[in-house]
Amino acid sequence: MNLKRSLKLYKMLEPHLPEDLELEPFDFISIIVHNIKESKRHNDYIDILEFVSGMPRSELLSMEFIDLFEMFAEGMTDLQIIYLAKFCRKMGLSDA
Amino acid sequence: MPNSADEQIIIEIVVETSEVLADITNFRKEVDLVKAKLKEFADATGESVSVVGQRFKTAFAQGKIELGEVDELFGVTSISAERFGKVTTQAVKEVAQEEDKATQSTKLFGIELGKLGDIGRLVFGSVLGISL
Repeated sequence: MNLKRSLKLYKMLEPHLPEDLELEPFDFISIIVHNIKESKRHNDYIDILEFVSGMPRSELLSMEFIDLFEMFAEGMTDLQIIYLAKFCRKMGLSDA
Repeated sequence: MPNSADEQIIIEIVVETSEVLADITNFRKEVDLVKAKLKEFADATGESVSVVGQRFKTAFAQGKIELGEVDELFGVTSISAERFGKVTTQAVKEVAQEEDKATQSTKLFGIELGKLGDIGRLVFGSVLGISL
């Protein structure tokens, strides 16, 4: 795990994380997307995608939503965000 | 700095993704409910889950059983005959996989989604207009 990158991603995701971290990966990621939508902070989704992919926003916006979601999910997995979220919560690092 | 056109695209991306994920989640729940009930019927009748599933699909499609009865029997609310057919097909398929002990974790969208199985492909396939 790249700790620096993981912590950066955690900070971006933190407002949208589910209360329950003991979820299947699919449910976990679905709730994050749902929470982003409900919070109306839609830009957070693209900010996260920019971060995990390294691609420019303009290129991301020309892609299909399904491909973007695949990238989003891969980013969560590669940076072990579920594990990291549990760790940060346990340590009280809500603003890691 | 994003312009308003970009903002609209971003909103559409997030909303569309969220809706499709919710569809998948609902479909998953329906499959689990139908699967459990089909197993009960199969146990009670001595028929295979596949045969029982086909009986229900046919009966619902032909109007021999009503929506309310399907709701009551399976716990899936306000489901169409077409949707019930898809759900039941998936449920039967999963039971067969379980019986064959051939269930494998499915990698979809780059993450291991063993519980999701083929449903993601099914729902995303329909969204994308792909024949599955």
